[in-house]
Amino acid sequence: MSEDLGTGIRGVVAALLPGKAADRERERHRLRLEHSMPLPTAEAAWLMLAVLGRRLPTSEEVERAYRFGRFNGTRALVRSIAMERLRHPSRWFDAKVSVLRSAVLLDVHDSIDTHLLTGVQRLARGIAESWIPRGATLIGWSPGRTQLRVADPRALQAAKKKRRMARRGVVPWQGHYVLAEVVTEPERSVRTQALAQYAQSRTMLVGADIIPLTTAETTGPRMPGVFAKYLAAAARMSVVAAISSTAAAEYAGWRGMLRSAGIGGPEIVNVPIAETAGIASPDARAEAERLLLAADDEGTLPLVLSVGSHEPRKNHGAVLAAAELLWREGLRFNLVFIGGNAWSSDEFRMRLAALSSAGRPIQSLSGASDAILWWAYRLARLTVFPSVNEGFGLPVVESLHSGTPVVTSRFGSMEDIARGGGCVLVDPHDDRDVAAGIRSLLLDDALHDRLAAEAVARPLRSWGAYAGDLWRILVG
Amino acid sequence: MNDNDLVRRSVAALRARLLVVAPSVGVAAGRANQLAVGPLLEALADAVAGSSTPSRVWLLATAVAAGYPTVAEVTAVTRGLELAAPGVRGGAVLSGVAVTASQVRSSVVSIELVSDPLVDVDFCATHAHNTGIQRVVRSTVPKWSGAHVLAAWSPDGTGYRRLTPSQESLVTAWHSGARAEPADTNAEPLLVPVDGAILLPEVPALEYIARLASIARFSGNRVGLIGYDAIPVVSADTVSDDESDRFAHYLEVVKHANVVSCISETTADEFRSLNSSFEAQGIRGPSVLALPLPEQPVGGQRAAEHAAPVAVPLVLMVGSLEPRKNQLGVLSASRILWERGAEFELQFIGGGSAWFIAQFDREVDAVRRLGYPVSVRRGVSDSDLAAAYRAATVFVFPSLQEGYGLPIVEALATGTPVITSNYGSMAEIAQGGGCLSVDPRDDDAIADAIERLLVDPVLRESLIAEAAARQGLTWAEYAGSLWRQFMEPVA
Repeated sequence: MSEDLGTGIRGVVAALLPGKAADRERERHRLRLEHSMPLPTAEAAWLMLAVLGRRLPTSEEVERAYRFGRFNGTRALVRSIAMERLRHPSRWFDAKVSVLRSAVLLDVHDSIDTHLLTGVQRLARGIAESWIPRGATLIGWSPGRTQLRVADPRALQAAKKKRRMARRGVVPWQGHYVLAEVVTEPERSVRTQALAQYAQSRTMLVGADIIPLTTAETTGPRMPGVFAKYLAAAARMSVVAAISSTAAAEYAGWRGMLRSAGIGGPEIVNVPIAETAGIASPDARAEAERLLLAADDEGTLPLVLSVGSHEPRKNHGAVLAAAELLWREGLRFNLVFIGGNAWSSDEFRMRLAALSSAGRPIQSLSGASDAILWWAYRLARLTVFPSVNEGFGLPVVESLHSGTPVVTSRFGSMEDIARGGGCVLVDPHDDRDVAAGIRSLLLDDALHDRLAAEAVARPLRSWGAYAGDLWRILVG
Repeated sequence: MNDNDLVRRSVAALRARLLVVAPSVGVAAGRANQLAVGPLLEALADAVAGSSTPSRVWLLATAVAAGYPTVAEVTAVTRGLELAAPGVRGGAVLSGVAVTASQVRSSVVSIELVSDPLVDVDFCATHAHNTGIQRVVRSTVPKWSGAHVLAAWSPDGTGYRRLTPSQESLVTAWHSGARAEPADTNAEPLLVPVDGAILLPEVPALEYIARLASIARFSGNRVGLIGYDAIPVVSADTVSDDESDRFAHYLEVVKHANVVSCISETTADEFRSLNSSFEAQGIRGPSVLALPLPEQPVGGQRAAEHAAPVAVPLVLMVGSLEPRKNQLGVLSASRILWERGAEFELQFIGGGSAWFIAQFDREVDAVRRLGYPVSVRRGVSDSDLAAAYRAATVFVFPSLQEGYGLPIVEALATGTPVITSNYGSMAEIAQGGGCLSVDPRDDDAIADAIERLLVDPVLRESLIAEAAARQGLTWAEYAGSLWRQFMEPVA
């Protein structure tokens, strides 16, 4: 379905004057563009800047070019774009850019660029696996974040990839574009914003949450500022596919604010993310038990599991405090954290070390494999996840699908998940309440068994189903 | 003073602070007075640990640190008191507030409990700058008759102090040419609100937000704010990352506040939308009220008569030079008209940040070289500004987003018709009469509106008549209503 209209003037002419222009001589294209085209629209100015200037422009650049073209004519605009590129030696080696009409572009740059496999990468991979057979094109960005590049369709799978992206740039035109990750580079966000405004394409953003805006106190340094630029791009998209009803409500609130700037904002739809049960391979069992289980004189201790990075929002300080309260009561259990360090996790590490040296059965694993993680969910008596804000709360459903009940927060997406069963809800801002939740699942076997039964009964949702829903919303 | 003296005085100051808060955290003054500093701290810590009321934890932490604790510190003290054994709880408090205590520059600070509302006028007390927010604060706060205490942050940034006389006059008696004098108030008494209120008519600077958020969340004091706009997140593409960053952090104060009085219905709508986003984290957010700003001309007096008609009509735009205000759209619209043969002079008044001024001046020069009459004025006094409003044939203000749009009502109060944006707070103001509304992102629409007002005297006269008939609040009325919104319990 996607059509390559060529590079340079030829591509611009083919895009703006549909029909037979594509096979004409370069000089004739130029003549035609300069003499027969009416004053360019803002969309045409965007296209010219992107293709002739070889850099996706910002909205401000588009406005300036549009006004320039309006007062000085198309010919002067074309010349000025070319001159501007030649004036800056740093731009002499910008790769050529071709116009892609009617393509479905899946922008998962960060997932191509990393070897991590967190929730974001799972999501990117889940969409890609379903969309590439349908004809979608995987794309990333050039090193300077000024051009979109076609990526190898296998770029998300291969463990080691040498050349992941093509050298030539592409400009979407009258097609479809989806951004399936949070952009933390303002350079990229401002160009994505202009793309959404001017590429005459249907654009979609997969919206996980707006936590850096509404819970800035828990985010890494400078994140709220760069996130705001990402939201400015989101404001010009056609649709935001929120990953949960809570995320949809957050985005709906944000969209309501756009009225004051005269921006209609995207349609907000709730497309619940996939829920899959991980495979706990029998081979990994012995290793997992060695890593995760602890014993005292009476035997193996019940395992209390906490999964997630140690960023402030995950509230692991409350987990530590609640566990200590329970150990002082004489309860038997060991506590295992699985997750990496993050910003502001020093205090967590210090307090964990203090509890450990005081003889509490506690440990923290970072960089655990998926196999160990899935065994951890299975081996655990309960999972504790008292986060202060989540777009979804992947560890909650991962634990539930492993048959392990969860202590989690009494609001937002976590409460939404809990409605499906298997959870004890607590106030995450009250250490004693968190402790009470853990206590109930440690001591009350009947409650534990009932919630475990509810957990395994929770319906699964495949990545294919999720990606299919997204495709229908974006492409139809 | 040698080191021993300093230690003795610091310990005495700590004991004095603990004595001040003792009754409020549940230790009778008679008993407290008999205790030395160590046992006194233990007694207070025991009392707070027994109740574990957040406001008492906050108060004790404040007294110990001699500054307001952050959310992280209050949480640390709460946990410390929960887990520490009786007899060593004082240590838990001391270690919990260590960071703030180390930031307090004077070790001999005393505290003053305040139950009257504390009004944070920090920026106005320490800067002579006088646009937007400062004009609201300086026109409103001095008119409050209810008991209150004006406060500014200590230079070390750890707590409120009473204003010095020169700071106070900068807030209550500002005049053109007023200058801010540096004041070292670190050693002055720390103002500690107890069962009172904190009113924030300014948007606090980033460095104070962590402490204010903690006050809003834990201290039990009522917190009221003026909501100006959410521009840094709604129009994030037109502001710096830092500005968006600061605003997002400011929301931590907002979400734990009691009441936000917004300067327009549009801004109230923004804050209500924010409240619905806060639900994801189990927070309801503040009561959101709207109280549109007054409509008064610059300098306070309405023009007796409008300036005599001039040979060449003047199209005026007032506002800081920044992309959001859309001066480039006005320049482009004017050029469209000049190319059609229209005759008028275009004037921009307002300063701005260096990078945009440079870019804007280039655009203006390019137009001027074509022979079109356009000028840019910066550093204009209030009286010259008032004169410009009176001299203008048309006032244009097609901003992309405003919390309110003060220049619009200033122009209207002078009797000058206005062209402004057809949505948001500007459309709200336009409904009251005297304005043409246009899509600010459409240069042709702006041009057409200017042309209509230049060539259609009947339309112009009818807008002038509408402007004269507008009924706006006075600053005194606004100040009175704002006080009631802040202080009256909300259902």
